[in-house]
Amino acid sequence: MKKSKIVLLALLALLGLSAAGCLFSFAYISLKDWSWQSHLKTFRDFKSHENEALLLAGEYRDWQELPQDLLKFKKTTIRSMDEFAGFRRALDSHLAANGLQPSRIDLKFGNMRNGIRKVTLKFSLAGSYRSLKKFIFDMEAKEKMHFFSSMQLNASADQVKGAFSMEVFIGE
Amino acid sequence: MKKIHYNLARERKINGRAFAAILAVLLLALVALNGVTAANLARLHKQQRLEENEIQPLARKMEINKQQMLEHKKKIAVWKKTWSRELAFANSLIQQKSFSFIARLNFLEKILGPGMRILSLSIANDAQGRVTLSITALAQNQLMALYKKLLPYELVIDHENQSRESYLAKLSFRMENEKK
Repeated sequence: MKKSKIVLLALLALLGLSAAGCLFSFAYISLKDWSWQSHLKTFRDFKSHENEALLLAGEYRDWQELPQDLLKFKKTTIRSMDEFAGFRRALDSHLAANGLQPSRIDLKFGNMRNGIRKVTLKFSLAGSYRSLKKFIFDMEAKEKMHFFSSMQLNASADQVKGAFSMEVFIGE
Repeated sequence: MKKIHYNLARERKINGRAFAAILAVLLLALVALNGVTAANLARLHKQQRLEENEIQPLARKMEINKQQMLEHKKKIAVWKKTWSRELAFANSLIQQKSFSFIARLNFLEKILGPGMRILSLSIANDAQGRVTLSITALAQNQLMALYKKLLPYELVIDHENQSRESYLAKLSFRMENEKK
């Protein structure tokens, strides 16, 4: 065979191989692109997934710290039985400071629930609106766990009569 | 005298230029095809590197996160079961503690116009948190002005009476349970 023919055939063979390689590379790229798209989706999802994980981690921490927080809440806001005596003295002193004198104070001790007992106090007062309001203000300002559960005020000619119900919470 | 020439070659003589042109075209095509293949391979390599360096660690991290989230969810479910009652009780106490009678009295003082007087007032520290009051006014337009101010607070007018000297109304409204 002539040299030129051999060269030509060799070149054609190379060209055929190259074309096949090129076609294969395109096919491989499209296949890879398909999996690449799923990777990109992973990449895009990562941000939202990370935010979700952060939120959950925050919630997890909150629940993890909850027993300590509840204990702290009890320590700072719930009175002991000894402190309840202090509350009674404070109530009397605020009543006296505002010129109020209840005819009687009814106390009812409830059952223990979650280590906390509810004490209900009921009393009636009569005085000026200003002094009653000042008394309510004084009692509301305290940090410990007690609050007015209901209040009924009736105005008469020279004074206001009020029926109050309070709840105090004491621990073990 | 005419000379006779004989071509004794076995194959046809090749045109050098045409052959060179064909060779050049083939070579160019070869180079072009290989160039495209090389570019494709380079792109694949780049993608692979990116995948190895960035995507795969992220995917691994996501997988770890998923496991951790699953564990967290399980633990949270257990804690919820254990602590939810105590938590609900503590929250109800906090909510009741934040109910301010003073804020409601201040609000009433602010919205009542001259010539108006509260005869009775009842406030309950409960979920509804309604304030019920009986009120007298010298003129009906004073009551109307009061109603207008109380409209955003779920106003309910129980009844309204007119006597010779004044107007009497019994009404209730609701304020949000928070300190002002």
